[in-house]
This record gives sequence, C-alpha cells and structure tokens, in this order.
Amino acid sequence: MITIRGEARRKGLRMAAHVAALSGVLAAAAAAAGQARAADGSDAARGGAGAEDGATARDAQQIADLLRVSSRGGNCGCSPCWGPPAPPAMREEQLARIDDALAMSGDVLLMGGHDAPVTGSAEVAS
Amino acid sequence: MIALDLREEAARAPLDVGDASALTAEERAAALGNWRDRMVSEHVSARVFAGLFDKLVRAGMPRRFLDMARAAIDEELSHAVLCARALAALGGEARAPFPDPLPRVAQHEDATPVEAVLRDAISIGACSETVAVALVGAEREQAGSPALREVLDRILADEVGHARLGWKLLDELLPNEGMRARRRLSAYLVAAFEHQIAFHAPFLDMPSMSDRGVAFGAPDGPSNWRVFVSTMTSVTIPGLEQRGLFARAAWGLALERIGGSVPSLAAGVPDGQAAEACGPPCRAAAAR
Repeated sequence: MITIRGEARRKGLRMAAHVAALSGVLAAAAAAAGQARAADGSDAARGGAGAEDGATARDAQQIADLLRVSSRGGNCGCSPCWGPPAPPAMREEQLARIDDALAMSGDVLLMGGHDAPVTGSAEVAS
Repeated sequence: MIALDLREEAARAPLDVGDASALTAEERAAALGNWRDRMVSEHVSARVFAGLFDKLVRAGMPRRFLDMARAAIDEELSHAVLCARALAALGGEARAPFPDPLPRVAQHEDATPVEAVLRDAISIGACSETVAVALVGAEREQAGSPALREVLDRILADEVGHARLGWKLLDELLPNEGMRARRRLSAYLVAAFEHQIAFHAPFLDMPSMSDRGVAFGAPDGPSNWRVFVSTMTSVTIPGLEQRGLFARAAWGLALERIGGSVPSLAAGVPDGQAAEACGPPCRAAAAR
C-alpha cells in the first residue's frame, strides 16, 4: 500500500544508495518499491501505515522489539539529529567476538604472518 | 552554561516558511524542538569533521580529502544557521545551550593513522551521514513550502558530499589494507553499529506525526526509525561488505549486545558508549 510517507522514505533510501554507489542496490531498492506497488495494485492508492518494504519493516520492528526487551526505555529526551555524532572508540574485546562469529559462519581469517592487501569482497576472502 | 546563539544570523536573512497557523500546539512544539536540536547538532558536529581533518593530516592523505573535510566543517556551521532561520520563522528563538560537556571526539590512539581515518570514515561517512542523506531526502519530499524545501535541498546536497567523503576514503584506503586490518575494522564496526543504534533509538520514543507536522519539520519517530534501519541494512552494510569488511557479522554482534546481554542496558541505563552517543543526560543517568 502506497503512502506519501512511504514514498518519501523510498526516495530517501535511493539517494543514500546513490551515495554509496553500490551496484545492484539501486536495482534492489527499485525492485522492492515495484513489488510494493504491484501488491497494492494502484500507484494512486493511499493507506495507513504502508507496507512499501515488508522486509525492512520487519527488520525495523525486530530491532525495536530488541531494544524494548532490553529495557532500554527511560528516554533521556535526546533527539537524534543529522549532525554526525563523534565516532566511538574501539572495543578490543570485539576482536575475539568477530573471529568467533566468522568462524561459525565458515569465513576464514588470516590470523598472522601473511597480511597482503586483500581485494574483492569479504565473501571472496573466505 | 555556554549557549549557541544564532539569533543575529537568523534575523539577517529571515525565512518565509508559509502559513503554519494550522499546526496544532503539539505539532508546532515538535517542529520547534526539532529545528532547535538540529541547529545545535549541526553546529557541534563541525568538531567531528575537524577531528577527521586532523586524522587525515596525520595519515598524509592527499589534498583533495583535506579540502573535502575542511568544506564539511564550514557546511555543518552553515547548516546550523539554516536551521536557526527555520526555527525563527516558526516563532522560535535561535538560541539553545550546548551539550555540557560536549562528547569526546575519539582520537583512535590505539590505531595506525590510516586505521584511524578508516574508523572515522566508517562512523561518520558510511553510517551517520549516509543515514542523514536518507532522512533529509525523505523529509524534503514532504517540505511544506518552497523556502523549507530549499533549506532541506541545501543541507541534503552537503550531506551527500559528507557521506561520499567517507565512502571515497574507504575506496581509497581499504584495497591497500591486509586481512589483519580488515579484521580490526570489522571488530570496530560492532562499536560503530551499536553507537548508531543507540544514537537513533530515541526515534522509538517519539510519536508518529501528521503530514502537516512533518511538512514544517516535526519528526515522525516510527518513520524515521524505519529510514535508519533500512539505510543501515540495505545500503551501509552491503556497501561495507562489498569493500571487504565483515559488516553483517558485526551487525549481528551489535544486535546481540543490545538484546539484553549488557547489564546496564538491561537495567534501563545506557552503557558507556551508548551514553556517549546520547549525550549529557544519558551520561548523568548512567552515573546514577
């Protein structure tokens, strides 16, 4: 179901994808938008919350639910704005976690010795 | 208390945002608050690009990158003035306190100069400014007047440049980095993603907003949250993966940390880095 807000979100997302200059992402975004319109049956239809991107809506809801379950609540009142916040510091303990996560997924890391520049995607490196 | 005062700059070039008389009291208050928060946030974020500029110099980066970072400093300051003009046009006062203290800009002393640049490129460019492009791009579509649309157009054009700076740095530097550096940067992604989620989480506590309110700059919390998540999952993470970082794994680890495994989050108190992202009120909460 098409909504003004949903269409605005799609355009914003397409702009962001342009910036990252990802081949294929623009096609994916357009395909997702097309599927949403096809499901609706009419470009002119307006509706309630909109379902322009079912997968994204589910992702957003799942993460929101995770945050609520973790009792993140007690909003401090800070409003997230456009100005980039100061980048965070590194947490060294995440090195072991990322190694574990990649080992479980079957990716292989060169842990020492050979450290030549790697070209191509992370998936190619595995 | 130090305050940002842009009343003079706003008065120098007043904006005509059109007839806002139909706004309800809640819509107007939300719009005023949002423009005020943005005014401060944009001004203060000039420091973030100043920090990146410093790291670029230390890493011996080509002049074109220094020019982009330097331009970004000026642009963030000018965005604050644009927001001040919008705030004043809606009847607000273009004056607001700085966060006290201002969040620390990480220097990444534990990294090589190149890795320090890459960490900032990831956090600032690939994450924050890419999300900003999507948010501003979406809001621009619903701008309520030519003047407000022009404000958003100007800000959007600059945000595109800021995001591109980050992606260009990744394209310039990552191909020369070995697997050891990519592993470290992938581990850094966990902190960066958690930081982003914490920074944008307040959208979840904001209500939905009418089209009329959004047209004048009031935030729609649920819609903005969806823009954030979709940008991260559809643009940032694939972009980082394509450039050789293990972004999907890092995203999963960031969500795992948020899902209650961090005691302070489970208690409703932001942990150190989330509090840092949130600013002084959250640090005060974390300290209690």
